[in-house]
Amino acid sequence: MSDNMNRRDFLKGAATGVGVGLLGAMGLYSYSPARKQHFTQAERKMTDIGMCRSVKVTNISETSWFDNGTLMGDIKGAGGLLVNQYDYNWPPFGNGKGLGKGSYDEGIAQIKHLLPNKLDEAWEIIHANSVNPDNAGGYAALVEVEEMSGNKRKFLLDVGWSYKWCDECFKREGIDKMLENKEIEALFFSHEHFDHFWGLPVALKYDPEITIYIPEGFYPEGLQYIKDCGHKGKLITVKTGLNPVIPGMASYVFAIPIICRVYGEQSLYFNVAEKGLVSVTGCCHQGIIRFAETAYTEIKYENDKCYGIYGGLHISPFDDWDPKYDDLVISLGDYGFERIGCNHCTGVLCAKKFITAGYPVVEGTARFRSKDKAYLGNGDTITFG
Amino acid sequence: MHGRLNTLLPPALLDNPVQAAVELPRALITRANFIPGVRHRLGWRGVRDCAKGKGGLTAKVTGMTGVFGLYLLNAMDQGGAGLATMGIVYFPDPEEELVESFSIEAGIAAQAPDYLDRVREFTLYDDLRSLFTVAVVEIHFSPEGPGVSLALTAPERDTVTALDGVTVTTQNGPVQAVAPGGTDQDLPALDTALPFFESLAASASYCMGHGPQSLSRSSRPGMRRVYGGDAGMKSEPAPDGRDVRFGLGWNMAVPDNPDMSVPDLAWNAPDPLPAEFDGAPWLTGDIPGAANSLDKRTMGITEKPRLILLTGFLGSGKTTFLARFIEEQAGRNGFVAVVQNEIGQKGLDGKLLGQHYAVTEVDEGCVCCTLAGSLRAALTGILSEFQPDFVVLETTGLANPANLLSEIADLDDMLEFASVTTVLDAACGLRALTDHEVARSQVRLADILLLNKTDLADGDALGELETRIRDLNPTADIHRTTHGNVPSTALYGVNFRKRLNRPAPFLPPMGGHHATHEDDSIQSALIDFESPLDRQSFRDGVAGLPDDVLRAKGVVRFTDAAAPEVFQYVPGHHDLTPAEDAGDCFVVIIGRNAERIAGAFRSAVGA
Repeated sequence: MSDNMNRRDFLKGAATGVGVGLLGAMGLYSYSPARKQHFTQAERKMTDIGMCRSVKVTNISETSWFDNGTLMGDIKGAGGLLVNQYDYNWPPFGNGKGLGKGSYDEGIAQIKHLLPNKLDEAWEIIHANSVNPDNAGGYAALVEVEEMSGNKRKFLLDVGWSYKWCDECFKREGIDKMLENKEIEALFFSHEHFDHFWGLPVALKYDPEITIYIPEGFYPEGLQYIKDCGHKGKLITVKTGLNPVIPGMASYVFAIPIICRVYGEQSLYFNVAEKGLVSVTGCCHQGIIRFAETAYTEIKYENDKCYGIYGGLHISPFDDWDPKYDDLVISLGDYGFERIGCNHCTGVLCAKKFITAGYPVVEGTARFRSKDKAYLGNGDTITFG
Repeated sequence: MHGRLNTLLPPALLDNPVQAAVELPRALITRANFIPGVRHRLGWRGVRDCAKGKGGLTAKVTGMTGVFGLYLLNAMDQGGAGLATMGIVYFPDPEEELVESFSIEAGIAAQAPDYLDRVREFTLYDDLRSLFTVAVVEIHFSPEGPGVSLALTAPERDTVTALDGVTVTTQNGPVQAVAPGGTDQDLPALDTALPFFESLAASASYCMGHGPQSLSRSSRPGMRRVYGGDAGMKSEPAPDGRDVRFGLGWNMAVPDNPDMSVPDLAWNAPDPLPAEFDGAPWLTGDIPGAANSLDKRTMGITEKPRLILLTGFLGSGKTTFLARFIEEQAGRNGFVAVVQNEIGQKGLDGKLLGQHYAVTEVDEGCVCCTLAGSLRAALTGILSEFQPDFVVLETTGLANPANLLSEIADLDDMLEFASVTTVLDAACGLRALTDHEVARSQVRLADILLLNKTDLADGDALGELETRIRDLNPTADIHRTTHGNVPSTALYGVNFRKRLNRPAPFLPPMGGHHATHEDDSIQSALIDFESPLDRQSFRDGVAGLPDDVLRAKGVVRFTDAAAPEVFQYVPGHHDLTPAEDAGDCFVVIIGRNAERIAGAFRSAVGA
């Protein structure tokens, strides 16, 4: 190299002129012990989870809260995103002391005797003691899996937040009757967040014996709440990793820190005959790319094809768009999903970007307080297979 | 302490010290990055999970233009405590000077077109980790206490000698990049890794609510790598080099490393911390104001948002430009509020941009005639809720910005006026300018002109259009764009301090004689200033400008200041802000009877 040529210019020339790998002398990396000390490249485990014929998702509610500004105001006012969710003084754990001064014990003490059957009475107390009770909505979905035999099996994914709102939504979609009739065989919690979990007594009111699957990482208050709500059925804590449930259906628990002192998220995977992989998420805090990549490395599925995805994809939950989200929008295209139903924490803006990007987004009806047709909203359904 | 760690990791993880140690850095970084104000204070400028491969994360940190990566090397139980060891990699920006300190092979990798794509998923690429790893960090988690410690180990200089030299084949034949026995790499590894480590440690202090209570620094004689010849690669003592281990502990002392035999420093609270750490980012967990909120006012940021008046004829691409501008600003931690008004497609654009991007629509019909009062009301709401860095007032394509300027002047208690930015469709612009006075006004009053959709116009038409634009507005910066794609720094300068464009010398100042301007008799007139002006005389002259002046702007130099200043005037209001660089001083006056007013102004300011 001549003295008046800096290395960068020279390297650029070398890189663009002839590409990498034409070193005359063997280079540093070639000699490096790291050369031999290969990281085990992510080998595909291709676990066989069986196969199902179809999956239908009914959106019971995706409106976890009704106003972003109110929710963010509460979070800010209570001390920020790291604050324990049970301390915000949100419903149902209102103790009357105001924002950020809540406590699980004080809140539950006021309503425990009414759970799970006298929810109207409980809600009156909650409403009087909690911060912004009317902003609470909830996230819940009914997942119907058709087995290869044609037999259909039903599962709940999450139960929402507000007792009042969730009870209305459950009744609207006939979930109350399904629970009473024991048609729904299990309830999966995606994670411990208020808007997915705290509406639990609504489900237990109709079926206190339902089997519950929670991801590893629930905090003591959450575990106690399940008891305090009057749960009498089996409680299964799912360890991090893949957990087959029935033929063609598995859950996967991701170890991931989440705001408001929550840890771990459980998502659902389905292998739909002749179609491919279908993914159903609550919030997808693990990120859609990790979600899809995990499927790729862990599970064997039809046609080696990512077929469909449903749920909150957690890209711009408060529509606070950041350019990095564009990467996610573009990256999602790599997986070739054929049916996308998104809502909740996906962000309306993101859903619209999916549509603009030409992705096969199944649009909704914008009913029952869902904001936009870009969302597969409250009361809407999507079928895979 | 326990409560704080409990917020970081759930009981199930805290019961497993090894897993807790493995998860801790990600939990610390993720938690610290939830809150923009905190993220900023702790030095993070973006964090990304490497979703593919074996996991890891990349992050940008204040003061470093490249990208850091963190990946797990191994994890073990150490007498009941968890220890995770992770590699810190630094991927320099291809243009960064530090590239030259890395090996030739690393440098070539950094110049390759797919470099940044590979960096994003660097855990998939052995060569990247090998070539760019600069340090190792140990994470200790002790269930006793419980306590956490972080220790960074890196050579002060990481040198590599190529016994055979390095020859690179280029298009011009082989080039000896490193002479035999020469130094292939000479990297200040410790200093390179330190900014990342300090942000990590600061995040630990923040997440735990207090600074570390113990600190240790030790070293050992360094080694260098030598490769080539028959030796393959081997390590040998580096006579002048040291490996340094720097550790911080929260509720636990940093465990010793027996290899590090030379103690340098040991500190434990409550002894006074050595002065060399004054101002270290990890000193305290207390982040005043920023911890709870996105509210800039609590962080002591009180400057007024800058106002961009965005105009352009119907269909010129204003919204496209705006969307891109918003995203660019968001990437710089800037927040843009938008006030919109559209005839006929009311609300549509607002929704496209996402309602929560602080978009307020002033649905009062045409923004140029019925805005009075409603704009202030809209802005009051938006400013109190969002504390934006920029407010973009996007006018309907049929608005004449001239009518808005006095309205904007009344908002000077809330906003700092920055620019009239006009978007013009390169293909249809000429026709709009010929047929519509509004389009001509938009061009005349522009500080910045975006000639958009240039991909749809041929070269001759573009030239003709630019001539016509120059005819209407000799001073505006013209930028040719497609899809409104142009960096905001090119438009407005760093911190919106770009100097105004000097009118091109070959264009005569416009006068009322020009046929195309007679319809509304708006003209512009140019005043040159050869020498610095008296500030008070200038102010008096500005105060005496008559109502006919719609707009004035320029660069002026005063006798009481060394640096030139940008002058912006709209009726009833003017301001002077520092100019980014020196150059000619001038003022352009736009309005009716511009030449006559310019003459009077020149006399008034004593030029």
